[in-house]
Amino acid sequence: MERTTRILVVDDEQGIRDLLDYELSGKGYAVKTAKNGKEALDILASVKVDLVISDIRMPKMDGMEMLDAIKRIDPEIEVILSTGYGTVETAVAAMKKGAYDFVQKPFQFEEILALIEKALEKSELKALLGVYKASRAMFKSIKLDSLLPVIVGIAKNILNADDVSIMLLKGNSLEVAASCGLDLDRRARTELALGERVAGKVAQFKDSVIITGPLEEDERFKEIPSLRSIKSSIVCPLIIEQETLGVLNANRVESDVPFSAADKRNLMIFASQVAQAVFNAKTYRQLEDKVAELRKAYRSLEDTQAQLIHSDKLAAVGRLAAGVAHELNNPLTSVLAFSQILLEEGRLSAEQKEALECINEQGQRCRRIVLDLLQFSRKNEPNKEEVTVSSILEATLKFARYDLVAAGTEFVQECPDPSPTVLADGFQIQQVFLNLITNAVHAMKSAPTKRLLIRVERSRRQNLGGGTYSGDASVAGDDKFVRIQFQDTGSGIAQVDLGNIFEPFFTTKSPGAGTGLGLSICHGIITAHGGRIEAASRQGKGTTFTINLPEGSHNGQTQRAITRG
Amino acid sequence: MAKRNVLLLEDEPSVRRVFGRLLAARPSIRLETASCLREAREKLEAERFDLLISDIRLPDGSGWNAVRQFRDQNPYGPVIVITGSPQEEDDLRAQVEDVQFIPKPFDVKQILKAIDDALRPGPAA
Repeated sequence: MERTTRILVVDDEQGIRDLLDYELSGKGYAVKTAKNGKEALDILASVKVDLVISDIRMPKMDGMEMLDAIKRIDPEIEVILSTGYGTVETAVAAMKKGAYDFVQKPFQFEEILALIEKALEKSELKALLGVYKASRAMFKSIKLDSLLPVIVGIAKNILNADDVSIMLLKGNSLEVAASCGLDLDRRARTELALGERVAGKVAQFKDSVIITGPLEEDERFKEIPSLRSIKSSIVCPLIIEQETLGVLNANRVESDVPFSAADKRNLMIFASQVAQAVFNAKTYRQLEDKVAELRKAYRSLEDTQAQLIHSDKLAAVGRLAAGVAHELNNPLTSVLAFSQILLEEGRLSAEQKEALECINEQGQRCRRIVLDLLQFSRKNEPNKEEVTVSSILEATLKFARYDLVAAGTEFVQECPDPSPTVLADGFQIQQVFLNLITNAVHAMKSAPTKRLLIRVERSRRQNLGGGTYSGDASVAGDDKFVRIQFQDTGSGIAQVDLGNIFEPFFTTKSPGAGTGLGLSICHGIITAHGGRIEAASRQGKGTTFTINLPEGSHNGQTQRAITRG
Repeated sequence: MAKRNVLLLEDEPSVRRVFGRLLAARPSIRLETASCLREAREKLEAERFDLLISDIRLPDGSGWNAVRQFRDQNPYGPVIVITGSPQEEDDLRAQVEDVQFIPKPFDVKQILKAIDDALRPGPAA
């Protein structure tokens, strides 16, 4: 298909036309001749010409006028003007209008030949320079989304095409990834199967194709119905390491001048660069995905590890606690029973009675500690059911209200009406709430303002603020949650302690005031519910405990309707 | 009225002493004690008891064995199970065997009431 270089000779003198025709044909060029500018333009409209040698002074349309017209049709066509008069003014004007050079008549043939060769060389260099510049632009971006539109724009310019598109292979079909000058809605197909139409065939057979006329007139593709009035096309496969990534399509629709072999060669060079760029971008994206995947895996590994260490520690502590509790219960039984028997027999002096009461009270305290330990060690699977948060709070406050009032605490409750529901063991959650309220009352014992705010709200995403310690990070982030916050105005927790508060036996209370198991039990319960509990605190300002529990499937309204029904 | 025979199976001496002291105020009750399963088995074979009070975790086995042996002789005989470290399994067994379950440490009044209730002649008796 390689086409010889075409030269159009325009001169009103028959002798010059014949001379140049004869000599240039002898040098292997394809030569056309025209008597004047008008005739030359007619030829240019139907034949792709690389170079024009023209007289300036001609009847009908002179060389200068014709130069304008040629440059409008195709600025890539080089024009060499000849003149018998050879005024400098004419020459300068011609060069300004885009002529390559001019020769003075009478000229030596060798002189013309040298000029022709230089001019042709220049036009090839220009195209290659375009390809080179485009490649450089391509490798600046690694993101396909921003890269492909740039590529098609450049290709359209280099080739003087009316539209250019890049189709990328996804599975077994080609999809338009970027286009320029193409009305995707109206004129072109955006998706093709492998082997379908010209682009599909190019992708399948991995061979560039140039079509210089209507599709139905081309032997190779005449069975493909023409979709639109494309006058000439080049389709290049994008191949890297024998793998087809897609195709690069360039079409001329408006321009009657068909693509040349040089155009095809340039587009092939360009396509190889595009393929490399697309490959790089794809590789980069795969790398990015891998990195993201790795990062995710690493995070989950860290979480799991932290959880394992935590649960391992808890299990060990649990076994110890259960053992201790068992051992303590028998001696406690007799301590409590005998002190009770003696007190009830009532044969004691006042001092004896006082001492015995102390023994009994302290024995009872030991019993409570043992109960705490046993509860902590026992992994009770929550008995989950759909329950409103407000009803759990209400039940909790039956126990807690007395303590709150006795401590002089202002108590504020914010809960949407109807209340959100959670899928939870109401008694276990009640225990958590009670624990948090008791802690809050204790923390506000000597605070100037005693105010406890309990806020209930729906939350879609888990909120992790600064200065927050989360007991557990392995909770799905997208599901719906109900957030319950306990915000007090108490003494607050020191930043160094904040990370330890959910650890068993950790307590900031004075010795004897607590076992340090309360928050650890809370954490265990909330985690078993698929939720999380976290604390944020500022010393002297107060502490906020935030619980996130998975929201129940019913909203409050439905739940009420069901309850009523 | 004949004395009511009560067997206490408990390995902890101090707890046995608690019961001795508690039931000293009940002249109608004769308290027999066993400190291990083997001893309990011998006593259950030797005579009939009206009530079994049993710990669960014993040096030579589970107190539930004694409960079953007692029930073989006295199918509707009342049983009070006392334990300091109840396991989930115990809750379940307590229901299956239909026994009264009282965790240690217990309230003196509660255990006395349980004993009195168990020995009171029921409508079926």
